[in-house]
Amino acid sequence: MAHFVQLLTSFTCNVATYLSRIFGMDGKTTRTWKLVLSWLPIILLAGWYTTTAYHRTEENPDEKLTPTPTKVYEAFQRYALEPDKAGDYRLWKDVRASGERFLWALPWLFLAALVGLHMGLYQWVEDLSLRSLTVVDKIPPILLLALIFVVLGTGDIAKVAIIVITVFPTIALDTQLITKSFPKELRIKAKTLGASNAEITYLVVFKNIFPRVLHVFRSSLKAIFLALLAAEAVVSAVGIGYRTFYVQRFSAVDVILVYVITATLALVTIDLSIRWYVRLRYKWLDK
Amino acid sequence: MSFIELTDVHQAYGHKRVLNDIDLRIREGEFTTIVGPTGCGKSTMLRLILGSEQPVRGSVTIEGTPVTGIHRDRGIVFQQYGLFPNLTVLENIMFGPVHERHSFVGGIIGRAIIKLRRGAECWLGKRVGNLLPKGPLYAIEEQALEYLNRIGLSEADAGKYPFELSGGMRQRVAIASAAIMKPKVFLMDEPFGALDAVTRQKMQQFILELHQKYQMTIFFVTHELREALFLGTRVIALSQYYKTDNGGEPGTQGSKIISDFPLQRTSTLDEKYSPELNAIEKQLMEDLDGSKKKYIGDFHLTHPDSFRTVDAAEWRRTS
Ligand SMILES: Nc1ncnc2c1ncn2[C@@H]1O[C@H](COP(=O)(O)OP(=O)(O)O)[C@@H](O)[C@H]1O
Ligand SMILES: [Mg+2]
Repeated sequence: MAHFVQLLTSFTCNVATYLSRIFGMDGKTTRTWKLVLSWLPIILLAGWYTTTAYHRTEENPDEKLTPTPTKVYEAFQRYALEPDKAGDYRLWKDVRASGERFLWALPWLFLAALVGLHMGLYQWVEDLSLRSLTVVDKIPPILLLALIFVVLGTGDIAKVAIIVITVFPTIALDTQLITKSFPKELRIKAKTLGASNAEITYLVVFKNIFPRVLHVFRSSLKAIFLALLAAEAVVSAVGIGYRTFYVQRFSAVDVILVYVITATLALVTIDLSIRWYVRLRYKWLDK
Repeated sequence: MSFIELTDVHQAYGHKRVLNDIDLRIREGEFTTIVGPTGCGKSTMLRLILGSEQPVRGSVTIEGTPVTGIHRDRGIVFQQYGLFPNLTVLENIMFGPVHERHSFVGGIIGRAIIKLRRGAECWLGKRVGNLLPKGPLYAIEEQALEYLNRIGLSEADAGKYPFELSGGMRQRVAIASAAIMKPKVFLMDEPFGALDAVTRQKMQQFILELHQKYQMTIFFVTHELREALFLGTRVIALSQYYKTDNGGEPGTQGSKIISDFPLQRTSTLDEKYSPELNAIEKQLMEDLDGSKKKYIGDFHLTHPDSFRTVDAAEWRRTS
């Protein structure tokens, strides 16, 4: 009996040590634990949703608010794999329309980075733009929507404009900060080595900060899509934002979920691609 | 006439006075080491000679021409940030000549060609690389490789990025990238401050060889007295801790040159601990001791080129 108690205590002790090594402060999780912990919330959520959905559908077959995964897949089939009356595959048509608007905004956002670069290096550019950008940065873009639709019409130009107005100041201001944190010593060195102002601006500073600017862009993705989808929801005939809000009128949660999942996957893909690109292309970054 | 002249140089940032009435004449080829307490303005003095900032009063001239800005004839090596992190070792060394001799676009194209050729050599072998065009920067590339050899790196290191190098190698490359411009004046701001003792000693020998070979005029800031004495042909000490007759306080009065000694050039490590150097070190230690402030009339300005103009308010006593 005593032997058994001793065994039990030592076992409890070992388990306690093991657990504190993982769950204590500054603990280190193993690979397996990492995998388990990172998937746990997702699996729990998915499991909870699925069971609720099936229960509710069993009680009421016309239940719309919590479609079962099967129903969501059927909605996906209808929207992505079968043409509608006009012969369009609606999901892809919408993704394409939103994607094109997003792409049209990119050159302007590159311009924002250039503006920030010059703000960080040339005092007069900073004087010229810092105050205005700081103010514009604070305008709630949703309110601007009305104004932009009045001024620029309700076409694609307005939607690109709303993206640009929303994130241009953020990107420019962040780029300015990054530019300012670039060591002055390196600029001085470049000058002693005979580089011109243009060469220092674009070949030394910009090339060095560009990967960081990409990270800024990555973190503005959410704001970009918030602005775009809101604009599409208000007035549009095609686009992810448009369709989602259109089917919302019929409480078609299954279709909404299809679009939510699609948009989320698209954003994750863009985000990860940029991260991988930066890691591969700029291996000297942050070293 | 001296090669470099600082006359009545004052520097201040806002209300903070940093340099107070610096007078200095330097001969061509002199290796001047600068020591002094942290924050006394050693880096500031280098910046004034470099031309990246201008004094609030007084003048800095080189060969009689006032220094008004940065110039390719004056190279600099900092303790940190010596290399462009986005460029390889070879590109870092080539930077100066490329930007001096080639246009914006020409430089980009030339660099791209080199990158392509070196990439091909790396993946497909030297023979394939040799078939590719040399590009407009080939002469500079050859020259850079020569410097690479001289600083003791192999061609295999040419494609490495600065973060892949050790601290000592990084400083070697930084020195090479400045030296390739053959500047008349070479400024170094605690270049070996972050290196371990052994690497540091090797770098000291390297810099001595460089000085002997090119006879450039060097300013070398360090907080290691031994290093200053071993490397220099002249050592000056800057300090804000001294007494004058107008009762200025350290921190508000700005630094002056409080010691200025000629040094026998020592070329072997044994002489690094010679009695003469030991004596100067002892003296410098005493001069730099902030708790025993020296009176302005008692500074040790024994170098034959040393001179100064004094403010009558600061030195009234004549003894
Ligand atoms: N750009 C600047 N603006 C304000 N103060 C400065 C600036 N540069 C240097 N200083 C001040 O001048 C003093 C001397 O600086 P520095 O030349 O870097 O000293 P050292 O190199 O001898 O340690 C320091 O007290 C520093 O705070
Ligand atoms: Mg300094």
